[in-house]
Amino acid sequence: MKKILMGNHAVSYGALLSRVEVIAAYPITPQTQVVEELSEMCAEGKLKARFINVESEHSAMAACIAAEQTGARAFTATSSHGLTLMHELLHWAAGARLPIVMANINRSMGPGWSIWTDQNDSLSQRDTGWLQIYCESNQEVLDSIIQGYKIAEQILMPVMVVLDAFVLSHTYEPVDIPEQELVDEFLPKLNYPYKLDVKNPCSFGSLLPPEYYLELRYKMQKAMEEAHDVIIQVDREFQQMFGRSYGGLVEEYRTEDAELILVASSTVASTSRVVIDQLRDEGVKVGMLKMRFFRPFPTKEVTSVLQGARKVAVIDRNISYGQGGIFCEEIRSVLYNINKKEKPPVFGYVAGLGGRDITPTTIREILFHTLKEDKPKENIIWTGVKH
Amino acid sequence: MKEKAEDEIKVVIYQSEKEMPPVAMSVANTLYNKTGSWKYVQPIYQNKTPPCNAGCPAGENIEGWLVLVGKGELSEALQLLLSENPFPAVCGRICYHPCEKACNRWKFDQPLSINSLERFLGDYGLKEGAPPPPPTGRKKERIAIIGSGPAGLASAYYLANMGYRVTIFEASDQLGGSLRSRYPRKRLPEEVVEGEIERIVNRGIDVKAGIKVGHDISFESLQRDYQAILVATGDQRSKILKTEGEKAILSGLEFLGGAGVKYGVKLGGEIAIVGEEEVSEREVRSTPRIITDPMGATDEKGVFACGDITFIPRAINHEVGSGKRAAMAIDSYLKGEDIEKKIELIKIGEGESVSMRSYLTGVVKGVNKIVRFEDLNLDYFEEKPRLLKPEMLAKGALVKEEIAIQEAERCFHCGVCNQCDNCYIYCPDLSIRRRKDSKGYWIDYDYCKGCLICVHECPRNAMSYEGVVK
Repeated sequence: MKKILMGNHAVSYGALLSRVEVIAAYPITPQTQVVEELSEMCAEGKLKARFINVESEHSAMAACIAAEQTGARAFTATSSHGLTLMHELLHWAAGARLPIVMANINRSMGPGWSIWTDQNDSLSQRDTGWLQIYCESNQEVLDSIIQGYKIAEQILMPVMVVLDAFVLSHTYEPVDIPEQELVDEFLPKLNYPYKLDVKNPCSFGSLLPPEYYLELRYKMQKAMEEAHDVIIQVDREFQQMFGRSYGGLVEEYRTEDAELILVASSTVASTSRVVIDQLRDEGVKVGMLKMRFFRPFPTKEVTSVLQGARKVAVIDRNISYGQGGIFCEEIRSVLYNINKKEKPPVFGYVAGLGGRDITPTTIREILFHTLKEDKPKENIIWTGVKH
Repeated sequence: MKEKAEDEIKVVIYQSEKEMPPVAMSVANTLYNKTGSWKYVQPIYQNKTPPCNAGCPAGENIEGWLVLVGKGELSEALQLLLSENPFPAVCGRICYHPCEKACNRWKFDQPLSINSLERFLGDYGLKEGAPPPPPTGRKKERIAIIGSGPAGLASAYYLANMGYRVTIFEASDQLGGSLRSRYPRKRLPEEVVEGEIERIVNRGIDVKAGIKVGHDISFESLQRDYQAILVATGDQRSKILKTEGEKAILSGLEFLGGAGVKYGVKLGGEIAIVGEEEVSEREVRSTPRIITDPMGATDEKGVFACGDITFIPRAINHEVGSGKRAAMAIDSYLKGEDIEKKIELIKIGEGESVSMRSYLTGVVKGVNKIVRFEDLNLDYFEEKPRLLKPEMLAKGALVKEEIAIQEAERCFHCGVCNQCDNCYIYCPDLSIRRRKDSKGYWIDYDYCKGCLICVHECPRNAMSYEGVVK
């Protein structure tokens, strides 16, 4: 069944179809409609979940952790300052190996106070142990929530599904809503193996001395590595059942013979497709690598796609102050060890912070700049700064 | 993976990450760690004295029968009430109810309508009948009670319940003493008095009415035939000035009988108290009295006194209490026991109130410390004004059972655990445990760290604490 949904409601439908059992959330612009819709679904009895009103995002994540620890499928959604307030508990959720799924609406961090999109909120949670999926369309948002649970529950790591503020969250698009029976088949009921159980009493998260801590962190990294194949497998199964695929960790767009490859994520990838098509029509050999997953980092895919390209341009709607665009830096890092002859120069563009539009013209300018230059003169190429 | 037992804890030593679960988890319990040793204060689970009970000179377990009324168990409530006071229907009409003044709810919104509920319960007993007290073996000792006012009858009731052979000598034709003479009929109807007296006499009491001791039968002969004598003749005389032009002059009897005692009276204008030299209030209230010890024993062996002939405030609740104390004193005397040794056991609060139940069973259900308003956790109570008003009843309103139940439910149950489970729920160390017999809780001091959350969260001060545990 197709519906015209805003991105936020696509999130809600994803949670509904995943039959989440506990929702604990605190409202924040631009996430509010996600939980508004879910609370209505609960009130109407469409979703048999316990909806817990909490006093902060910190508590929301704490409640999700507790719920998941009892074996219930938990869900929350947040944004920006809400996400960063959760920071401590994001570490906890991952360290406790709880397969929670959360939606984060990318919104810039204040000050200056902003409600518009950029990726600094979610990317600053890079090292917490959460998988991160950056979505391009409302359909991908809904599908990624369902895929997210399937992936999370196999590898026992939490998943963050990320979408741009307003550009997706408040934009209506046609979304195909899968049949519940099919989703049930795809995503069976959670059977979490390390749950609190009065019949089998044990305690979790207690003091762990140096003789064991390292091993558990080793296991977390192994789970992230294992996630690579699981993500691809889940995407393949999803395609078989629902007819849609997102390529697993990344998606290549017209990269076959591309000499210049643009790397983009989120809705920037969507806009880039238009520009790529235009330039191809103009005879420019350009393609795009869409970064769907940021964690685990698709090292293998990035290397194989970019290896041998003549040039690479990365658009970052984020910045790590004192270094550069975060996607760009990680891409440069994974390319470091490849054959020198096949190593392309990587141009790092920082654009669209605080929700400034990244239009087809912006992307066109970025690509022409890359074509013009032999190699990047600066670590960061700022786009659109009014000097 | 190696396992070794260490102080009854199974310790697992992992040799490689492959053996380890992916999460930090412990399947061992922590009972070996007796964290109770950390505490320097400890909670004590102990019922205390509700102020209403301490404020009742008759020694009723008011809080106790309120619990039962609140549950709709009226017959049980009446039985408990009668175990301390055989005159609920009478007291529900004429008692000046110091219990309500003592009620902690007074400082919150309005006190419980204890007096009206007592009347309700008393009337229920007159209508439905009251369950008899538990049977006891018949004793051989004979006791003569001179006078049949509320004190003498109360004493007769409890002595008969203990199994003694009780004979009442009443000078007039009717039993009841001051109950017949002191109160207007409208306030205390004859059938109420008769109903409650009948219940008392039916306990197997021998009544000799129309016989005046000292006139029809000598005191000495009573001393010969009875193992104990209780003088309960009341206050028979009043002094009245017979002057010309007197206006609204009250005798002591009328003054106290009509208006109540010390605390219940509101008088305006100038009052002249006329009496003997160095007139004190006590003397205004009385004609010559018999001096007794607090429990009613006189200097003469085997002779006791109670009621208005002794030094008590002249009011129904004090009279009932006095009769009860005398019954206890006589019982102890006949058993050759020292009642003084039981005083601490039977005292309710620090006044004259005593518990017949504690006297008979030898069991006290808590510590005799009166719970103050400040000792309650008011967060657990909601304001709710009283549902029963004496003036409504005086006008003949009938109390519906559900209203009585609702009124009883207003009770804070100061100092008396009603198993609300707050301590059990809030204890972070699972050290408050439910008793297997469902009669409350016990504290596992091995693990109680003395955080006192249970004390704070107890709405009614049934949990308290003591400092510096060694």
